[in-house]
Amino acid sequence: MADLLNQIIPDVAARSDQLWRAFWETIQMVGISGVISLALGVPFGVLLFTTREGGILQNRPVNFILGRICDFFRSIPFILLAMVLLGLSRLLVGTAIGVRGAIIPLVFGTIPFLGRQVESALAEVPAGLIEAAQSMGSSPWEIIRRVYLREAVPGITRGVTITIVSLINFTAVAGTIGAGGLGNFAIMYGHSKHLPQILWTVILIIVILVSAVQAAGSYIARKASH
Amino acid sequence: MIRLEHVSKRFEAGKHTVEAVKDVTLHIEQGKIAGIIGFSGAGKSTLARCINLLERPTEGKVIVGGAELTALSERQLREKRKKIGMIFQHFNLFASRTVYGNVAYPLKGKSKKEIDQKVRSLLELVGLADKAEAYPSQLSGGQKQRVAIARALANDPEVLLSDEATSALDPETTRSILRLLKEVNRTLGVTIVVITHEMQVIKEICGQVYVMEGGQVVESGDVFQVFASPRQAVTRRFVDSTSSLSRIRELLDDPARPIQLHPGDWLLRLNYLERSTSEALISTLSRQFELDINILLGSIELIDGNPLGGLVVIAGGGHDKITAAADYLSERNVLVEVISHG
Repeated sequence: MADLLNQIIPDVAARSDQLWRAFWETIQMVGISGVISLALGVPFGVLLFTTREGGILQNRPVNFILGRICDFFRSIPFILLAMVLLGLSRLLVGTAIGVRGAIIPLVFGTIPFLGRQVESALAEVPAGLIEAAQSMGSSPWEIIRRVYLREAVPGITRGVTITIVSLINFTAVAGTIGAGGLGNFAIMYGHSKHLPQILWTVILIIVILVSAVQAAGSYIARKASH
Repeated sequence: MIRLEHVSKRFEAGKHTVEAVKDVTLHIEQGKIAGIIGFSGAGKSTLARCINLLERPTEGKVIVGGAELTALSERQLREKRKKIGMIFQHFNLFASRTVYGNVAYPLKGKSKKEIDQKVRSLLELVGLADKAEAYPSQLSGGQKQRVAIARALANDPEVLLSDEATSALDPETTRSILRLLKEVNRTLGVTIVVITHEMQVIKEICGQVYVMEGGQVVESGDVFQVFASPRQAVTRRFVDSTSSLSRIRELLDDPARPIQLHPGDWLLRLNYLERSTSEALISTLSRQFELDINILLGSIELIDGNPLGGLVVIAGGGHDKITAAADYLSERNVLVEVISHG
């Protein structure tokens, strides 16, 4: 196997250690920032939705402010957002480079995105179910937990899947400004040193990664729909 | 059990204000089945939602089971709502939960054993004991509504609000759901408020009725009284909607002229007004007044065990005999209406 790879893609085989490290870094970045984004993005999306006009926690000022914050971060291209957040990253995690340094920009880039995904997933829960829950004496908190977040599992799963895919994309971008990972690896060797084999190998790995995430997401969403 | 006092509900829609419910006062006694009927847009659903404050009235008081709901805090109101079950036109079952899970939803906080007992007995009551593990998407409309009824009864409510609960169902299923509601009322003593646009529903199970139009209750009372002698045009339309007697107008206008009146014939419509129609009226007319009577249309239904409806007949025998017969009928509380002469 190693011989075979050595023959077809010698440039990659010669740097297999770096490639593995880059792959692992990408997984780490996606995993850590994914978990943080999920923990903060889902509540953010719930607030975005429930504070809307006619929502169960209707609150016009809160909804307005959250909406503007969300749009602000979403409208900045990720590469610029990452640059702007370098200072904050140094302040919060002590570094602006490497896997650790990438977490803050990734989280800031992902939460608003996921928030909107969750918001639209919740919007698909039929209003009649909320009315039924209210008629049974459920409190807003109970409705969020026992109705919205449960009924919207398929929609939220689809949203999370799209978010993870875009997060993988973001890590590659973050790689260009000092984070590690596959993006950085591809740029350092594939682009700067003109080694197309490396570029294509990284692309292939990312395509496989995204496909796996998409397949898993679709499977879970399908399982959760009755 | 349910008392609404001068309840109004206005919605602000941009610059417009829509007054969906206008100054409604009503009282529904414990253990009764009351109907609220109206065409769409009459405000009946809004009125129903005012009873459990899903819609908070703009003005007026809502009193259910002695508690003034409009004066309660949100927390107290939620507790009180557990005693007011509600079912809906589109069932509103939780798609992610099984039948069992749906019925168990409002029982949160009780012990597992208690929940299990309650859910099983409710599913038994609505005849779906074998469907406990099914998901709503696997059920028919009638079965879904049965699950919804079981869920609405989980906290042993004093009141059950039924908001167009049979409107999405076929006639046969409608009847079976209505029978179930009647049984629930009889065995559990739950006061039921039925909101509908179908006259059939009111006739089938209600004892008292409120007819709504333009946000107001325009006519109310005992179902038999209201529908035997409707005072408002809208009520008459509802009566006609289930009676085949109104078809006589179509038949008269039919170019094929299915109805031929001979000279001296009168086309009459007889409406039974009182709970008295067990006499052999037609036989009496033909024997005592020597009339020839041809029954064209008949529609008699039992409401509360009393016949309501009437006949459309062609009567022949001459002016004097017919007027004498009409007087006789009027004395027996049958309203005689002359539709046309031959």
